[in-house]
This record gives sequence, C-alpha cells and structure tokens, in this order.
Amino acid sequence: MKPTAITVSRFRGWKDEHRFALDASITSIIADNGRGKSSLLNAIEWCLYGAVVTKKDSGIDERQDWELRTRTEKGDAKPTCVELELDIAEGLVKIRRERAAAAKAREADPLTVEDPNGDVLFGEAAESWLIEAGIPDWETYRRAHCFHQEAARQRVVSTNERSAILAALLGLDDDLALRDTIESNQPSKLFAGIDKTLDALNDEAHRVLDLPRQRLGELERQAAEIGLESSQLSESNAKSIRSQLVARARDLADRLSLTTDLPDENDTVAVRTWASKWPATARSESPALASLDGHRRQASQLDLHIAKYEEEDGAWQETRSKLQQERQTGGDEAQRDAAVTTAETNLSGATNALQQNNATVKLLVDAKSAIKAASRSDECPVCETSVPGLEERLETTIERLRSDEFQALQAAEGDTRTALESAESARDALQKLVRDEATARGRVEEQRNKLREVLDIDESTAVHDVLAEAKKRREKVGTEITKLEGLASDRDQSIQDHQTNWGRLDLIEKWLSASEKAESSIDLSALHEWSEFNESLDELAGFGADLAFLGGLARDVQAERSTARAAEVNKALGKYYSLITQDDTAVLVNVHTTPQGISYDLVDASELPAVPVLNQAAINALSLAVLFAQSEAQASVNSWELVALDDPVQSLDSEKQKGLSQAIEELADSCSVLVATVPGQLSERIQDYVSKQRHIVTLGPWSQSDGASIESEVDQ
Amino acid sequence: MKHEVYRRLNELSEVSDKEYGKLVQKLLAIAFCKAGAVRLVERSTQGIDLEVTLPDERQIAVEVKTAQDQTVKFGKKDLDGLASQIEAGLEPYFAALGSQLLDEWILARYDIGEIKPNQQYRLTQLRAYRDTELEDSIREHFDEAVIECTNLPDTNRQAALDEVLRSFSCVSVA
Repeated sequence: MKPTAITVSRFRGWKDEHRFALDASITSIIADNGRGKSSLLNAIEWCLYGAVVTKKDSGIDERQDWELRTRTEKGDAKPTCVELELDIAEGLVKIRRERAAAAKAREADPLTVEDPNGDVLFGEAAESWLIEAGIPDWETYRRAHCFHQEAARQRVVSTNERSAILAALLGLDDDLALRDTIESNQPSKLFAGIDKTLDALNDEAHRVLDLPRQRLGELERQAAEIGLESSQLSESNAKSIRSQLVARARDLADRLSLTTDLPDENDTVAVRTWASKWPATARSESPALASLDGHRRQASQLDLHIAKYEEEDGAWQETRSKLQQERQTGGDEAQRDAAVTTAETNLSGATNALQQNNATVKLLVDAKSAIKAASRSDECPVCETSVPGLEERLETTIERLRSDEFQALQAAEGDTRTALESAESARDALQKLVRDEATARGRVEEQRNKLREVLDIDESTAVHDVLAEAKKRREKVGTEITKLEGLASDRDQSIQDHQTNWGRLDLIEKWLSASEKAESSIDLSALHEWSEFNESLDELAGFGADLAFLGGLARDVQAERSTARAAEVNKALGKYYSLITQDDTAVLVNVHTTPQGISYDLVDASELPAVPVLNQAAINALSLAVLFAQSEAQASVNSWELVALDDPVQSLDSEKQKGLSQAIEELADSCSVLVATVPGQLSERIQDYVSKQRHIVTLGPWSQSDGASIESEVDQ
Repeated sequence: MKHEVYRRLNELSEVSDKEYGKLVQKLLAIAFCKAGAVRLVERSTQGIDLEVTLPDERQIAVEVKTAQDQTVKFGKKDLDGLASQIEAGLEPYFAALGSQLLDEWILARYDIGEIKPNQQYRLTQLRAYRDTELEDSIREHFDEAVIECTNLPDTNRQAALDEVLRSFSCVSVA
C-alpha cells in the first residue's frame, strides 16, 4: 500500500492547488524554514485521520490550537482540500478530505474514497474503507511511519512513548491492543467491587445478628431487676409459671363465682392472650363481690343517719334539761306570768303618784300666778281668805314638790319599771326554752322517721327503739362488708401475684424468643434471591477470571513474541543506528517481563538504559533508527509503504547527516521515503550520492498572496 | 454460615493460631464423611490434603486453604500435586474458606494454567470455578461438624479430630 501522489489546496502553508508525486523511492522536499515543507507532510495525516491530528491529544503537544486552513482573502469560498492517491493491489485509490471555508470548529471534515472501480464512498463508509483496507491507525502511523520534528525527542525520552514505539517495532501492536482492551476492563476492580459488596453485606449481617443479642442482654438486666436468675430463664420455668397462673386463676374464679374459660396451660399462645386480660376480667365480672358496693353504700347511709339521729337526740336532751332546770329555779310559766302582772300594777301606782305630784305642783303654780296677778300676796284667790306669807309658803311648797317629792316618786317609778322588765325577761326566757325544746324534739322525730325509712320499717312495726334497730342492722352490714372485703383483698392479692408471675413469664418468653433469634443461623441459602445474587456474583467473577486469564495469556503471547522478534529487530535497529551515527555503538531493545506486564526499553551492550547517557544528536539518531527499523518491519508485511521525515537533521552534524542519507537509501529498499529538509548536507547527499530513484522538489519563498510555491521539480 | 458456626470457628482460630488451617481441613473431611463419602484420605503433612470418593463415585483431590484476609495463595508444590492427581484419575479442587460471617466453603475446580503459583487470589476470583452442587452437598454437614467437634482439648486438638475422623469407616488418616 503505497501513496503515489498528494494534492493540496488551502491547507496550512499551501493556498493554491498543488500536486506532488510520491511514487519515487525517495521524494525530497527541500526548502528553507517557513516555505511549507511540514504542511505537506501534515496534509497526508489530515487526509487520512481528519481532525484528530489537529489537536493536542494527537500525541504531539505543538498541535494545540493548530490552524488548518490557509489564511486567504475574505470571500474565498473554496474549501480546504487534500487528496491522496494510493496504489493498492486492486489499483489506484483516491482519498479526499475537505473542509468547507465556513466550517465551524467542531464540524466534521467529510471524507470521500474513490475505489479502483471508480465507486465513491462517503462519510462513515469511506472511514470504514480506510480501516478495512489496512491503513494504519493514527497512533501507529505517528509512531511507525512518521518522524515529526516536534516529537523526535519525545519518541525516545518518554518512557511510555518509547515502550509503546518499541512494542510496535517488535510487531506487537495487536498484542498491545488486545492487552489494552482486556486490561481496560480492570478485572481487579471488578473483584474489588464484589468484595466491597460482600463486605457491606457481612457488616449488615453482623448488625442484624447483634440486635437480638443486645435485646437479650437488655432482657437479662430486666430479669435481674425482678429477681430472676439466669438459670430461671428457661422453658421449664416458663411452663411452671404458666401452670401456676392457670391454677391460681381457677381457684380465684371459684371463689369469685366466675364462670370463665381458662386456657390450657400448655397452649403458650392461649395463655399469653388470656393472661394479659385476666386481671380486668377478675376485677369486673365477680358476682360474689357485686353486692359489696351496695353494702358499703347501705353502711354509709346507716352511719350517716345514726350519727344524725344521735346528734339531734343529744341536742334535744340538753334543751329539755335546761328547761327543767329553768322551771325549777325561776318558776313555771304561771308563776312568771303572775310576777309580770304584779310588776305592772306596781308600775302603774308609781306612775299615778308621780302624775299626781305634777298636778299639785301645777295647781300651786297657778295659784301663785293668780296671787301675783292680783297683787295680793297674802290673800287666797279662791276664798279670798287672808293668809299671811301665802305666796312664800306656796313657793316653798312648790319647791319641795318639785325636788324632793318628785325625785322620790321618780325613783319609785324607775324601780317598778325595772322589776317589770326583769319579770318579763324571765317569762320570755322560759317561753324560748319551751319553744327550743319543742323544735329539738321535732328534729329527733324527723330523724327517727328517716331511720325508719332507711330500715324500711313503719309506724305499725313493733320496733320502738329505731336507733337500736339501726345499729343492729349496721353491725350486720358491717359483718358482710368485712367478709366481702376479705374476698376482694384475696382477689387483689391473687391478681397482683398473677401480674407478677405474668411479668416474669412474659420476660422469660421474650428472652427465649430473643435467645432463639440470637442463635439463629444466617442461612441465606434457602432464599431464592440469595441464590440469584450469588449466581450473579459467580458470573461476574467468571467474567473477571476470564479477563484476567486472557490478560495473562496476552502477556504470555506478547512476551513470547517479543523474545522471538527481539533479535531481528535489534539487527535492523543496530544497522540503522550505526549508519546514522557512523559508529559501532550498540543499542538494543530490551524486553522486561513482570507479573504486572511487559515493558520495553533501549539498553546498551551492558544492558544498562541507553537513553539517559545520550546527547541530543544521539537521541535524534536513535529516534530515527527506531523509526527506520519499524518502517522496514511494517513494509515487510505489506502495510503502509511510506515514511515521512520532517526535518530529520536536527542536531546532526555533517557526518551524521551523511549517515542519515545512507540510512534513508537503505530504508528506500523497503518503502518509499518522503523527506522534508532544509538545504544542506542531507539534501545534497540525497541529490548527489543516493543511487535510488528520487524526486526532488525545491520550494520557493512563501508569500502572503500566493502561499507556498514550487520552485523546481526534478526526477533523478 | 450459621452464626454459631461462625462464632465457634472464630474461637477456634483465636486459640489454635497456626494450627487453625489443619483443624478446619479435618472438619471439612468430617463433613465429607457425613455427606456420605465412600472413601476419604486426609493428610496433615505432605501431599494432597484430601482425596475423596464421593457418594456418586466421583473421585476428587482437594487442596484446602483458609483465608483469614479473604485471599489465598497456592504454592507451586500445591498446584503440581493437584496436577499429578489428574493423571491418577481424580478431579482437582481447591477448597477455600473465608473468615466472614457470610462465607461458605468455596469448592473450586482447578483448571491447569488458570491459577498461577505464588500469586495472591481473592476468594472472589475463585468463585468463577465453583462447584455449587458439591458445596451444597457438604454445607450442612460442615456446620454440624463444627458444632459437634469444636469443643476440643487445649492440647492435641488435631489428634482429637483425627479420632473423630477414624470413627468413620471410609476414612484413612495419612
């Protein structure tokens, strides 16, 4: 598969359309810097691989922000275009890639392939044709068929790049690709992922199992608090308690006259259901104790009325006693009425005497006034009898009546009044006592009637001492209450015992259940889901094992093939390196196999790493030698038959440039060589000393208006 | 595995230290016997750990490994030993038991070349070669063996298990 010509238009340095023949053994593009040499080599790459070669991840750092299209005048609508003519077994193929003038940055650059039959393939079909035809992929191309001046040093200095190139040199591209494919699936990560899942499940299983164990510990603490020893946490003890519960309940039910169904003591579920309800049943449904409350109410009622009766009776007896005493000491009602009458009479007499005195005084005053009016002080105005000193005598009498006599009469009237009041008070007090006694007696009678009512006896009943009868009845009720209260107390005690035993049974049963759970197995094998999960894990593990095995197999094959190819490759490498450097320094490919993988390096005759001690020129020479050896090997399997060398003379002195020309001549035996170089030792030697068919193209100066140009083309 | 089995194996591991692998091997041998092995040879020192004629007359050779860190490594001698059993008509197996609660015996067929000597393998990797039917046939018997036979004296534990093994008529303790 050999490129025979390339046509470029508006690509990098090339503006107008130019066609270059590549069918000579050696095509030499000679030009000073900046005249479009590299653009021509880049055009082959872009035509075959498209946009990938324009980016940094092309593997060539300098490709970042690479501008593909030539900068032309505005309005130029012609596309960027590269067409590669390829000679294959079936005939001539034209591979053409275009980029529209107005194409956007991410827009794909359409590819067309015109096959030997003249059929034209587009897009994906065209890309597929490239693959099927065996065009090397970009990575292989850049490592095995191309010498980029910007990547020359990197090819041998970078460990990974060097190892990859040497692997390719050994013809192990396919082995590497297989290994990459297998190992990119990272079976170890697959296994680690499965293990992580299983670890998480184990943690969860522990957690699930620890919960009942914690519960067990908590129940054992509770058991200790109610005095249950660990030896009592047993099924036999639980059975014994169940038996006790039912037996005691049966006894209590008999005493309480309860007609209730008791569970079979061996039926643990029935006992649990019954036991929790039994206290409420026993408290609420006892016919024997049904009358207790009634008796209590009756006793309470009797107590109340007896007390009231006794209180009222006491009050009456006290009132009656006071009345009797009052009569004895102060007389009865008649005597007190008589005393009042006497006092009233006395008061009337005293009042009359006082009034009479006052009338006398008035008469005397009138008489005195008449005497005075008549101016006859010694003559009686009535009988006109002359009484010497009459007026004075009247005055004296009036004075006496008004003072001494009046006071005496007034005192007497006051005394009789006081006596009357005293008699009236004594009479009233007795009357009040009489009334009080009657009232108290009435209350006693009222209480007696109420007692009769409580006792349910009437007047006709021959019960005279109601109080005694009430007390007798109260005593009888009290006796009954005492009896029933004893039964109730026994019931309460039985219920309390039941609850204590039920609590113990409940705890023991919970402990037994928790114990069973705590000791239960993690037997997931019966679970369908667990089986499916395990099968999935097994399949994953199988896949991982297959991958690991294939990876190992690929490594083994690779190691085997590496060893087998090493001698042949080292021969070619040594040949080209010696030609370029013009000395006999040995550089060999070393295959380093470890359990983790296979790596390749360049070593000297002592098997020490070669690169670290090489100078720039030697590194460049080595880079070229590796490429030449690789290209030779590729050409031998009828793969791509063109090596593109972009300014390969970097750092090479004239002796080594001479050696390089010899190496190119040697390589041209296996495949075509396209070499772009500045005028100098190499270009001259290719022109003048190489015996192979050559096509020499000299480029003219680059201009803004026309871009790159061909100055001359010579076939030699 | 059952929690009780897990607990007992953990205890056994703690008290028996380096002897643990051999004890577990003997417990596995007991499990095979309980599962109806027709013939069983158990070796504590040299050679294949177990040679078992199963109830269906299949003959297997088993290299037994315990995996406290969930990984196992097979020596060249182990693998060569297994390979030699193929020539004698036995099917070669690995038996590996992890230390986690959800672990069960992995009884994995040995395909020559797929397991490399002296490489660390996760138990998970061996799952690819499991013979689940064989595993199922001994699972419960192994649990029984652990529960019945791990109350061992502080000394001569192996001898105590050998005695249990000898009680099975199919057993030859080498």
